[in-house]
This record gives sequence, structure tokens and C-alpha cells, in this order.
Amino acid sequence: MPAELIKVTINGQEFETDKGARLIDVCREKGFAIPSFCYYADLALQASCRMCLVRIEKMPKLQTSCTITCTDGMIVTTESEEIEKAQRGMVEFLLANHPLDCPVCDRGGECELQEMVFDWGGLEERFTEKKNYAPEKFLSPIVANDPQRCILCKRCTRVCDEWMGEDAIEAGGRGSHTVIGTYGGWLNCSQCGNCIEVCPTGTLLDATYRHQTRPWELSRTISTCTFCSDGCQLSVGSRGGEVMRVVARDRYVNGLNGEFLCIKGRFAHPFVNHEERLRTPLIRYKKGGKLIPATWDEAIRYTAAKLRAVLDAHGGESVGVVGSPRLTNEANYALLKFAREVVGTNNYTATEAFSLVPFFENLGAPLATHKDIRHAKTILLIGGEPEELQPLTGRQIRQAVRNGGAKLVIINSVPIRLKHAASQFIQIRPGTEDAAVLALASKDDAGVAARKLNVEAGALEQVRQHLNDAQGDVIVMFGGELGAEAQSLLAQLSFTFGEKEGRRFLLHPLPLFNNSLGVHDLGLMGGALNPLEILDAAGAQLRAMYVAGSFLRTHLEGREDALSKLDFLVVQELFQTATTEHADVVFPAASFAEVDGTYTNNDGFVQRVRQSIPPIHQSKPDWMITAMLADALGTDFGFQMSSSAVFLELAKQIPAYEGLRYPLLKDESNPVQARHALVGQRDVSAQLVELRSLVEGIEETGETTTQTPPVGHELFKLGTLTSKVPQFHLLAAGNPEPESVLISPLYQITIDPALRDEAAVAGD
Amino acid sequence: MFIGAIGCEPLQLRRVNLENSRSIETYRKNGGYEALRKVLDRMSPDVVIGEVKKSALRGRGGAGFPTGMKWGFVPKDSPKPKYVVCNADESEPGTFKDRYLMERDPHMLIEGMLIAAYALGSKATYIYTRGEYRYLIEIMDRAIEEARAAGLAGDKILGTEFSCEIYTHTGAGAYICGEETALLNSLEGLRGHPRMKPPFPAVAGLYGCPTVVNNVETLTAVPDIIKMGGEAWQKLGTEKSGGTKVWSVSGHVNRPGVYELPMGYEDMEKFIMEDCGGIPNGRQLKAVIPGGSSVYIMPASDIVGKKVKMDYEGLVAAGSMVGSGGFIVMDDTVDIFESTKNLTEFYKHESCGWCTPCREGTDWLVKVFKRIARGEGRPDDAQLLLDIVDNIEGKSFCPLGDAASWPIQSAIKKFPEDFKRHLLPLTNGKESGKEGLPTI
Amino acid sequence: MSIIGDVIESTKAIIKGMSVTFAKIPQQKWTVQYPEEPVTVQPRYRGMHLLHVDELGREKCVACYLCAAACPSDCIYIVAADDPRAPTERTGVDERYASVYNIDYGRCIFCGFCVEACPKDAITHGYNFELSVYNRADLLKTKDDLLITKQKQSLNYRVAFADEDVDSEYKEV
Repeated sequence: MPAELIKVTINGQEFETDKGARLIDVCREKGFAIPSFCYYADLALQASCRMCLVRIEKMPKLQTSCTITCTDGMIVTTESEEIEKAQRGMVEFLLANHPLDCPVCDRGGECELQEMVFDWGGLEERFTEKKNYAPEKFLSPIVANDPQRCILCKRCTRVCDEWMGEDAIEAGGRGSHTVIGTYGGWLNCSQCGNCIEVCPTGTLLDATYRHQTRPWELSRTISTCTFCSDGCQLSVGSRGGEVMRVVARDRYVNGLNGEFLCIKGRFAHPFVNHEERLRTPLIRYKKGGKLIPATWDEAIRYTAAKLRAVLDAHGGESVGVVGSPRLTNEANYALLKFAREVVGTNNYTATEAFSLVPFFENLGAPLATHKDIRHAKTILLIGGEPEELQPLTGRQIRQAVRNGGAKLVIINSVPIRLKHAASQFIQIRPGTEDAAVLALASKDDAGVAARKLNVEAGALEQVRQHLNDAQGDVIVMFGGELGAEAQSLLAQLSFTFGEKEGRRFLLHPLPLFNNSLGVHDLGLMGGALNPLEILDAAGAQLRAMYVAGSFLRTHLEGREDALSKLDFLVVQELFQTATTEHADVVFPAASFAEVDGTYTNNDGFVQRVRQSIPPIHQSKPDWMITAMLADALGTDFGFQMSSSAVFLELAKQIPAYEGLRYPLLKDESNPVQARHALVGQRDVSAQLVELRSLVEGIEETGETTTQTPPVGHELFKLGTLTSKVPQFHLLAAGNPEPESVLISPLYQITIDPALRDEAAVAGD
Repeated sequence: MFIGAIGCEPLQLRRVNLENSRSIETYRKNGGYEALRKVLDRMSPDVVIGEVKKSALRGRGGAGFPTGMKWGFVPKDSPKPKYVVCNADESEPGTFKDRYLMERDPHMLIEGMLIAAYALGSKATYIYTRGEYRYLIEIMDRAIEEARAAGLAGDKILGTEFSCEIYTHTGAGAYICGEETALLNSLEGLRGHPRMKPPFPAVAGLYGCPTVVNNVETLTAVPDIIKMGGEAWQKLGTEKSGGTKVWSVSGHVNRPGVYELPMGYEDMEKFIMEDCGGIPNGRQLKAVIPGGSSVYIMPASDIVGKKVKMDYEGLVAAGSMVGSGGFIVMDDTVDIFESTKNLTEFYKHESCGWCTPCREGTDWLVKVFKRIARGEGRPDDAQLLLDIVDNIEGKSFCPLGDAASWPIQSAIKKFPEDFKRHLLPLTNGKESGKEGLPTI
Repeated sequence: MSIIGDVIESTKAIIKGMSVTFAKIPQQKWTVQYPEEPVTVQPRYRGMHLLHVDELGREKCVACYLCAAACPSDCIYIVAADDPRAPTERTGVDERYASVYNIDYGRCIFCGFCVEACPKDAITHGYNFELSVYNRADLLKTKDDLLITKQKQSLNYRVAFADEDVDSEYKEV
């Protein structure tokens, strides 16, 4: 419905605008500068900074333009002596107790208060009294706080409440003694750092970046996050070949995440420049020997010779090629090409935590974007825990419920935190998520499913009814707990419920890694073996293996010595891992900050990863290593050292990516969705029968827990990458409160390194 | 201490001096709950609101908004529950009338609230008192229990279909919670700071539902309006300010107390000098703050011989306001600089910290006042104070900023000598060449 | 023109030229026998930079990078760091200090903008002008070369007193 147009006069000029538009937005859109601190799009109104004052005819006082909605015939003045005096007065008030310690403040140079003072400040300072003092302190290992710099715009508290649903920081005290603080003095939240992001001054600071450099020294590169599958857009600030910080803030346009990032995206970047990064290629000339540094030429030549020997002796099928959902599409494509064209094997896979192949084979509805989730009317979440594993999806769900009035239905074996936002929460026995899908897909099986789930049949009927009556977008999300049959049925769920006017089914898988969808799209997950089978085949059917990245800990569990049975193992990695322990050759690969490429997120968006620093030490991008190896084995990939050439070829080969080129992907505000083929209605009765028998076989014994897992139970776990950040060790140890909050807890608390053993399931 | 009416029949203060005035028996013996009976038996809610409109009753909390109009704003057809909240957060310096009304005649408030609840279709009402009035809550609770036992509160009041519950709640000691939206926040258990208006509480107040917030004295006036009829009650006062008003008189008078005066009482000088017994020890009247600390201060020259009428219009004409009726009299021993400093410290302490001008402005003002008091005043400090005040006034989120500004503005304007004395620095034993005060 | 004419003209010229020379011989000479004798430099002379310390010997620099930002020839390189120790034990006056502070004198134009920009009066121009080196890389001076407590002072100059009139001396010439 197009909005009604009304006329508004601003500074004598008449404009047409939508009815109900906010005055401050209209003024800014029409080119009238209106200063503001507390007004922040997407957050509740505050009207406390009093900077955006305007004069509106027929209103007694100056009005805050952020709280005024335009009405027809409104006459507004934004520039006059009276308004300027008021605004300069406000800046003077804000600076009264501000310490003006810009030289040591990390925000200096990108501080909104600083900018505002340049534009609206007075020339001389009339405040000659003593300033209220408060020492700089730490709120957590990650968040530093200087209360004196605060202008109490309360963006942070609103972000914490409205975006994160955590309410971890709140204002305390009153009047001029008001401070932003935490409950109990120590911040026990998910440490997302969004409060730091939105802070207009240097009040809340990134403690990992504290006193490191100044913002104007940084070169900023827009890239995509390398942790979870949400694919947040971020800005990597680097200086002299070192990644100094990651923020969402200083980009020209908005990505799908706006200014949102989670703890990993924002703070877990120090692995890039970590001293344990592999520096040169390493060769283990003798089984059981040491890895010895070598030159690239030597390592490539040695690897090619060894692989050639295996190929000659045992044939192509004896070599396994393993990609990784952590790597770019380009890297995985090069590996796939290597497997098919150089080695000639079908024994390829990727180290993905779970396969979505059945889901994509039966895809009956489009993938939901994060924007769709935000504006959805019904959200069904089966399994998974987006708040910990896909934080952006978690936020979109919360916003949909809070601001959009969406109905959220959760089916989970654990009372996850999102439960509080849910209109219906069904707690099931652990491991019975498949049964829930059966109950949704087939009404007749609801009885047996309810028994296996240990829930009342009425509850499941209610969910069905809910989906049936739903209007608007219905988003179906699911985690990795679902089996192949359940995935197929869920992918076809829109046909189970049939067409209905005004209702649209959208699907949103919740895979764990940044390029999980990419490895599925490329077909790397469609190889002859899955990661577990490939490990089992090591030493038997497989004589040699080429692994990019590392096997997950869950894969290697119980198969610790599988890799040692191989004749020859090549690994390309950032760090020494359990996989490189058995490697004969290890290539140092470049991290996400050092390469150009693309990731495909769980929306199906193909997003650019851009090089922000040159590769560290002697590392090289993964696709380049593969191409060099192929070249040494006699096949020229024709990539010509250009990742865009890799992508060009990839786009020609993969139907879903047809027509895509790097220039098309450059605008992060308009991300391009891969065209996943919708298969239409399929006969899934075979899967239904299979699932039914599977569900009937479930034992009715599982214990359900009533304990809501603590914040960060997945986010703070230490993985290969996150363990390189010292602050994560503190968080993983339960975020203990140090003796003094004036000094970083890093200097006060030493954490037992044995804690590293509890590794992350995902997102490391 | 005097409690009583001057120049009219005591209405609000009819029972306060009776023995055992708190009890329901005394209340009923003296005409109590007749108005409620009349309302429940013979009047529709619209008629009740009509009577209140006719009475020209204006809100007694300070702003003086016509009560009937306020009640009329509540949407009739809203499916949400409606609430009546009694604002007994009487924190204005110099104001103590509500305290005596509640302490000595709690049933009058209960009756007024029940009538308001009936008129507005509310099933739950709240009495919100300031934290320091905790002992009043006990008195109120006892009175509510008595009323409940007599079938005057709770389910099926007086055997009719009308049911209404009265709850009591204390604040935690914040002046700002006397502001109606801050009060609602506090009542909901949130931080006590004001809410954005619009939406006004009449549309979205307590828990987002239509709510009417009225001062104690406003509600206690309602039973008499019903009994006498709106027009008769209005005739007690003037055309625009109906009825009687209770004033809390304190300061340098021989007989401080709670005075009930008809609106439009003809002469403030007569009131001070005769009704309140004049200034003690033969000293001279210096200034009066007629409506609680938040209004303009009036110098004696504006009162003596000027026949200042004591009602909303009369006081505005004389350069001040009725406010909450906290009538503070000061004799010539008072240093207006010190009294203004004291008030400013109060506002700084009570500023909630929500908006910039009030939070930072009051802090700055106090710092300047303290510096001047230390003897470090500078000639241009008076202008600085006025500039700061000007930047606060009209720009703050709620009226607290204005309330903090007005006393300073008027004090500097009306009593320049008191400021000059503190500001003029002596250089080498001689006065500096600069005049201490700006031309105002 | 005849040869005689030439001789007369050139003799005139020689006499004119030499008269200046001979006239100057008895006058006072301004040549400074550097390095045997120290040169006098102005108090405002802009020589090699000095990084200052406070009365406790802590570096005044808080690594705000304003000097580097102001530098027109981009010759200042700083790495900031955090010093969590107690205020009396710190390297610098603040928690934040410069762990690296380099000035490349191959690029420095001695404009003094860095001194102007410094909010902490941590950097000033010293008087040391003997910067010539045999190796271009040696023109890069680090904190060890620049700190006032560590910089080696040359004996080959003296600084004029504030009220000493050095300028007009030369103007006479």
C-alpha cells in the first residue's frame, strides 16, 4: 500500500513526504543538517540529548525532531539563531563534565561528540569548575568503560535490550551521577560488543584494541565474517600488515547485518597475525619424523612427486580430496577441480559438520533472507540454537518478535534462551527432532511422534494449526539435528500445507560455518564419501589425502589414528592442528583477511571477501596452492593468479551461480542471492515411510534438561581460531571477576591452559 | 500550626480537626460516602465527568490542567483496562497539604478515587506516595481495609455492579516521580524518569493502558463537587478556577499551617499579614514563593498594596504561579542568593539524568553557586547563571528543567542586590571597575 | 676599442673589486671556526627533535598520533601500547604510551608542525643539527635517539640566550 503523501515546509521550502515519516529523517533526507546523539534508527526513541531541536509553527517550545511525525501543512524551521543557540548550549552542557582526553581516547578521530563539537560547539569553554571524576575501568575482558566520557545517549542500553535481549547494561544512579553500568559490576553477557559499536563517544571501548592505534591510521577493507553462516559484513581495520580491529561501523553502506556483529566477528580476529601461524611450507621426509621448513618450490615438487607415485601405483580413486566450509568458494572450487581433473576421483568431501544435501535436493521453497526473518509473521525453529551459533539470525528473530509482533514457535530439546521470546515452546526429548518433523509432515503420525517426543499431542496439533492459519511469511528454521529424511520433508513442507493466499513459506537452514552453503552449492558435499567415511577409508581404499583446512574434532573422535594410516597426507592450514600432526607436507595457507574470494551465507547470499593485508609470512591463498600443485602434476588450471578468474570459471560451472561476477557482488547493501533450483512438489512418501520407521525405533528414554544453558556456552568455546585470543580463555573459564576492575583482567588472572581441551563444536 | 479554612466553609478540611478523623465512622457521620452513593445510584459516568467539567476544577498538583478535560480524554471504547492513579508523591519543597489530607481524612481520598474510577470505568486504582510518606501508606491501607469491610471497596461496591480495587505503592524517594509519566514508570517498576509525550497517559499510561493521574487534593475535591453540584462548587471560586484551594504556608509567618482558601481570595498581603499572623519579630516581608519552589519568586514590592488575587489567573498576572500551593514566606533576614542556591542544589540532586540540559545544567549551576559562595564569584557569573538557565529552560525533556530555571531567573531579576553582594570581587581594597550584574 | 682602453677598464674594475676586499680586511669577521668553535643557534632553532619526560622521568608522549597526522612529509611512525602498571612505574605519564617512536630524518623538513600539534608538549625541536650519516638507513632515529634522557648532545653549538641579539649581528653585514 503506497503511503499517503503530505506537504511539509522546511525552512521555507515545500516538500512532499510520506505521511507518518519522522521529521528528523525527512529533514536529513532533504539536505538539512540536524545534529543528534540519542536518535538511532531501529532503536526506541529517547529524545534525551536535545540536539535535534527545531521550531515548528503553532508549537510552544522548540521540539525534538526525532519524536515528531510529520503532519500535513507542518511548517518547520531548522536553522535560526534561537535553534543554533540551543544546540550550542547542549554541546556546551555535554562537554561540561567531559574529560576532553581525546589524545588517549581510542575513539578520538571517529568520535561523534568530537565531530559535533567541530560543527556545533562554542569557541570558548565557559565551564571552569572542577569536573566530576570517574576512573576508567573494565566491564569485562572485552569491554572497557570510561564513565566520564559518557553523554548518556543510552544507545548502548537500548541496543543491549532491543537487539540482544540481554539487558546486561543499564543506567544507574541519577542526575549528574548517572552512569552506565552493569549488574554487580562485571559484565556477564554474550560480549557481542554492539554497545561499543553504537557508542558515539569513547565511553565503551574495545578492550582488545585498547590503546593500539588511531582510527585514521587504519586502512579499512569491507569483507565478510569468517565465523558462522550468517555472513555478516564487516570492516577490517589494518595497519602495516596487521589486522588491528574489526567493526561493522565504518562502512559506507549497510550490509545485511547493519551495525550488528557478535563476539567472534568483532573480537576473534587476532588469529590472523598470531605468532603460531605457519610461516613456511613444512615437509616430513620420514614417517614419524619432524616437520622441516622448506621452500615453496621444494614442497610443491616433493608433494607432486609423492602424489604422482600414489596415483601411478593405486589409481585416482586412492586419493581423497577434502575441502572445508571455512574456505572461500574459490578455494573449494579449485579443490573440486583438482579432484575431478587432476586426480580423477569421486572421493571428495568437505569437513562440514552436517550435510544439507537432502534438503537442497528437495528444496520446495526459497531460502529466507535475514530481512525476511525480521519481517516474518511466523517463525518455526526446530533444533539449533541461533543465539549462540548464528547470532545475527538470533537477533533477527528477537526483533521480529519484539518489533514486528511475529509468533515464534520453538521445538528444542533444551530450554534455550530464545524460549522467552517464543509464543510456543515445545521441549522434546534429546535426539527426537526427526519425530517433530514427522508430526508436522504427517498428521496421522502425530500420536506416535508425540509419544517419542514426550510431549502432548495437542501441542503439535497447535503448531500445525498455527502454520495452517498463518498469514504473511512463515520461516522454517532447523539446526543440524535433523536427519536426511526429515530434511527432505521439511524442504517440502510448503506443499504439505498447500497454497494459501497471503502466506509464503521460506526456509532457513542453520549450518555452522561461514561457507557451509558454498560447499553444498559447489557439490563438494556430493562426493562419494562423507567426512567420517573418508576417515574410515584412510589406509584401506585411500592411500593419500589432500586436505584443505582440518577435520573437525567431532570427526576425529574415535578415529584419531585414521590419518596416520595414509601413505601420504597433504594439509594446507593456518595453524598446527590435530590433522597436521600426521601430515607429510603442510602448506601455510592465507586467512580470510589475506585473500580475495566469496562466501555463501545461509541466506544464499554470495558475498565478497576482500584482501585487507598481504599474506602473512610465506602463506598463499588456498586456491593458489591447489593450482600450483595441479600445475606441478601437469594440469594448468588457467587461473592466472587471479581469484576473479577462479570465480568466473566457477560461475560458469555451477548453475546456481550462473552470471555472477565480482563486480556484481561489490555492493554489500544489495547482496546477490545464489539461484538455488526449486524442485517444486516431489513425492516424498518414500522418505516419509523411512522417517516413520526411524522414529518408531527411537527409544523413549532420553532425559530432558530443565536448565537453560548459560550465555556463551557455545560462543565462548575455544576453537583453533578463538583460542588465539587471550580474552576468550577468560570467557571460556566462566569470565571470572578480577580483583581490580581498573586493570585489564588479562594481567590479573591466569587461565589454566588445560581448558583448551573443551573445543568448540562450531564456528571456531 | 493552623489547619483550617479562611474566607469560606471548610470543604477539604471539614473533618481534619475532628477527633478520630481517620475512622470511617467519623467520615460517614460527617457526610462521607454520600457522594459515592449518589454517583452509583443516580449518575452515569458521563454525567459525573460533566459535573467535574462544570466545576472548573483544575489539577492541584502544579500544572493546573482542567481535571474534567483530562478525564474526557480517556477513550471510552478502548478494550484495554483503564486505571486511575493518585499522585501522592508530594515532593515539591514547601508543600505539605496532601500529607495532612491523607493523614487526617484518608476516606475522602478513597471516595474521590472511587468516584473517578466509576467515571472512567476503571477497575483498579493506585495510590502512589513518596518514599518518605511510608507511614501514610499504613494509614491508607487501614482506611482501605475499613472501606472494604464496609463494602465500599473491592467487589460490588455498595451492592452495585461497580467493582474497584485500590492499591497503595511507595516510591523510592525521587522528586521526579511526582511527574505523572515518571510516576507511571516507577509504578511499573522501571527507572523513575519521564516518558515521552505523546502518547499522553490518558491514551497510553500505566502498562500502556489509558490512565488518569490526579493529585490527592484534586481527587478529594471530587466528592464535594458531586454533593454540591459542579456549578455550585465552581461558584465558590472564580470562573476559570473553581472551588477552594488548600495552601501549605511555611516560612517566616507567625501562624504557618494548612489553609483552605476560596479560589480568587482577594489579597495576598492581607492573607500574610492578618490570616497568617504576620511576620514574626517585627521584621519586614522580603519575598514570597507562592506555589512551591518551582515558581517565580515574588518580592514584597509586588505584593504589598498590589491586591494580588490568589488564584491561577491572579498569580500569573502578578508574575508567579499557583503551582502546588506551597506558600513560602521569607523575611528580610533571608539572603535570596543562599535560598536560590539551596533550591538549585535540590534540583541538581533530584534531576533524573535523562536529558542533557537538566542533568548537566543543574550540575553546572550548583558548581557556580558553590564557587560564588566560596567567595570566588566573578562579575560575569550572574550573566553566566542566566545563560545556563536560558539553555535549560524550554529545552529539557520534562518540566523539571523549567522548574529549576524559574527560581534562578526570577531571583536574579528581582533581587539583584543579593547577588551583587556575592559577586563583586575586591581588588586592592577597591571595587573592580566592572558592574557585578548585567542589565536585565 | 683599443687595447689601452681595455687595460684601463679592467684595471678600474680590479681596483673597484679589490677596494671592497681591502675595506673588509680590518673589519670584524663573522666566520665561525666550526667545529673547533661552537656555533650559536637561536632559541627557536628547529634541530633534531626531543621527546620529553616529566619530573618522574616518565615519557610525556601518550601516542596520540597527532604529530604523525600533522606531518606533511609523513616521516613519523608510532606504535601505541598499553601499560597496565601502577602510575609511578609506568614508562609514560599515561596508560597509553608509544612503544615505538621513529622519525625518518631523510624525510623530515623541520617544519615544526609536529611540535604545534602535540597536545602534551611531549615533542619539541632540539638544537642538534649534526645529522649527517654515512648510511641512509641511519637517518631513521628511534625513541632511543630522540628521548631527552638518551639523546647525545653535541658540544659544537651553544644556544643564544633569550635576550641575546643574534639576528642583528648578521644583518649588519
